[in-house]
Amino acid sequence: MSTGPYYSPGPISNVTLDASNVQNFLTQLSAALQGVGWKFVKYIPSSSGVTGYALDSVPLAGTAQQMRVWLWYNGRINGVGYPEPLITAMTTDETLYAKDGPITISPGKTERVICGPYQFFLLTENPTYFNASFSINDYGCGVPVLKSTNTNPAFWARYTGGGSSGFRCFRDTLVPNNSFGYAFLLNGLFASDLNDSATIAPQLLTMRSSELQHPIPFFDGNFPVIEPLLVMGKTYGTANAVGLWDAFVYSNPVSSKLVAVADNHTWESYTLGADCGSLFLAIAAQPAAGVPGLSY
Amino acid sequence: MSIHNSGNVTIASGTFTSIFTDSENMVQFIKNTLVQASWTRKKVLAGISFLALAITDGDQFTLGSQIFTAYTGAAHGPNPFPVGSNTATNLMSLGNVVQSVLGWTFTTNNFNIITFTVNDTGDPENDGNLQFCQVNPTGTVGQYDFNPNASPGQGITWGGGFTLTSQAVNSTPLILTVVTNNSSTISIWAGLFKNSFEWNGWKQGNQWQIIASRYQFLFYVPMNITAGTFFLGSHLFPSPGLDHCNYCNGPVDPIIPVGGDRASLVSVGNNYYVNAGAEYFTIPSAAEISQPVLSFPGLGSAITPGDKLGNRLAGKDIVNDLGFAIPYEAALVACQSNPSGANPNFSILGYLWDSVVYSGYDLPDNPAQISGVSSIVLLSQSGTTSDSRASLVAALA
Repeated sequence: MSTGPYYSPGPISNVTLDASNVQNFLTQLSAALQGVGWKFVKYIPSSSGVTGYALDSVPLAGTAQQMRVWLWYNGRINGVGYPEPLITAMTTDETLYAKDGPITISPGKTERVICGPYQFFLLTENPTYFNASFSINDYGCGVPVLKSTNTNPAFWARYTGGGSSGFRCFRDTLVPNNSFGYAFLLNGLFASDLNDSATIAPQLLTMRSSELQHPIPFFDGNFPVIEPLLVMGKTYGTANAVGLWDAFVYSNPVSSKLVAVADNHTWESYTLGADCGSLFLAIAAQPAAGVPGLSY
Repeated sequence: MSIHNSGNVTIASGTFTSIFTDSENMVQFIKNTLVQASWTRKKVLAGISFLALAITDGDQFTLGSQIFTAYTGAAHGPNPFPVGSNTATNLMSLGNVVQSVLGWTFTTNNFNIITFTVNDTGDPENDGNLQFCQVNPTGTVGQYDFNPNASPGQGITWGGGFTLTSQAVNSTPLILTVVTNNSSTISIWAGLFKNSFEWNGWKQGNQWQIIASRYQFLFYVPMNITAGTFFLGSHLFPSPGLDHCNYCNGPVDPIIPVGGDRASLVSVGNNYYVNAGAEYFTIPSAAEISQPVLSFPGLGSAITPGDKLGNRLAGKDIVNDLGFAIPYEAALVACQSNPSGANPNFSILGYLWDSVVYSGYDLPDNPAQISGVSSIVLLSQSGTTSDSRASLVAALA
């Protein structure tokens, strides 16, 4: 890669959450985020006696950009009767906000959050890796890595939207659907779930060019890593690429969860399955004992 | 600006207007610039090389004012001209070097290719021997090399020049032989002997520019991207898994130049030479030439293998939040199978030195600033649903 990974000052946390109970899930997610520096702002009144939380991310060094998330519940029940609490990304003044991203609560289910001071990703290892009918598991949002020194608010979010189970953040593809399940705010341009042909929803880049339509390895068969470039914008304007924190893109898909050590961090593949690449997230800011290094 | 910095970049310009009168100057210009960039040089003597086929006893050909006659058998004296054959054995059995009656030497470098070279003990820094370029052998003496304007019986002559050797990263530096040529201003071939790919389709009457480093040699006509105006030779920063990789690309055919252009990032797939331990891309077939089997990857988005650059990024510059395109390593990628077929065999061969590709389009020859380093756009493509929008940029300092 030419630059990156972009390391946050940390800490980085990888926490399992109880997703069999709405309140437990929201409370444990709130605690995990506060554990990496997110700041509690207020309680969010919610349905069924549930207490929700509003949290602000850690201000970026120098420019102080932050985002806010609501972790809350509006009484939503899916088609098989399971409750689905919501995560809502927004600006700290709450004037611009994404559509609500649900997470399905079901008996015996756990979720996991990989989080740092500026971003977090949710996933589950059961009952299915990906979203499925009446089982929504994935969410990601954050304040991106910015080159500019201006203080315009900026954030991105990928989640399951549009009432479908098909939009899976970066869990099964680096290039999720363009129509639903996204929000971004960058340089004053805001969009969320705009089902139009002019919006470039947040997506990650890989190596592509004329006639180079497949993952491209080094001569020894290993694949390069690429800086995690998250591109978004309008087709009639500019396509802006910003960075993800504590992440890289491995330019070949990995078939299952892969945990590896590289650059003094422990990494885990977030993107699973057949794709053109995999997003790896740092799950610890130090090498894990006994975990093999990533070859690249 | 690049991860793969060579250390120093040498820039030089020269104007060459006439095929014959400027050819020696062109060779000297290349040699002097590369030497300044820390390449080593060795003078190459003028010579003639041809593939001797089916010469019969008594066949004659003329070199300058001298007539050579082919004889068969040992009964014709101590220094007979070797008799050609369509089998290699006969010529190889003659030995490596034999002094001919004219004071020229000839060698059989590669089976039945015979090379005569002029004895020249003159200035080692001056190629000289331009007059030798005027020599055209006459008579049916055989065929030579891959020059498309060659016809059987002509042979190839060169008027001397230099073998230029890059510095090595690990081993096996890039060796280029640059000589004057009677049918094109100059010829360049990889290696010491004229038995590999030759580039000879240079457009005349142009100002040429060289951007050179200790490992790499870019030779091009500013403000002209058409065929016959671009040559790239690089001892690449090797891909992991390779000890070295030498790569060249340029024009062929001095009559109607083919390749050696800067039309897009896949232009580097025309008339190429790759040697990473073996010359496994030595001579492209017609099918290979028609396929962009060598290219520089850009940045794009793709959902599944087989996707190119859909998802609304087609034809768009990708810039950071400051509005600047994003530079990344200039990786040269080869595909040893049909790139559009199932399971294409891609691999990164290595990286150009002092160069980056960035995720935006700019016209060739436009200046660029990459991390504060003055640079120039060499290759670019505006991008479609098929192609990443990208520019290859070379540092000028």
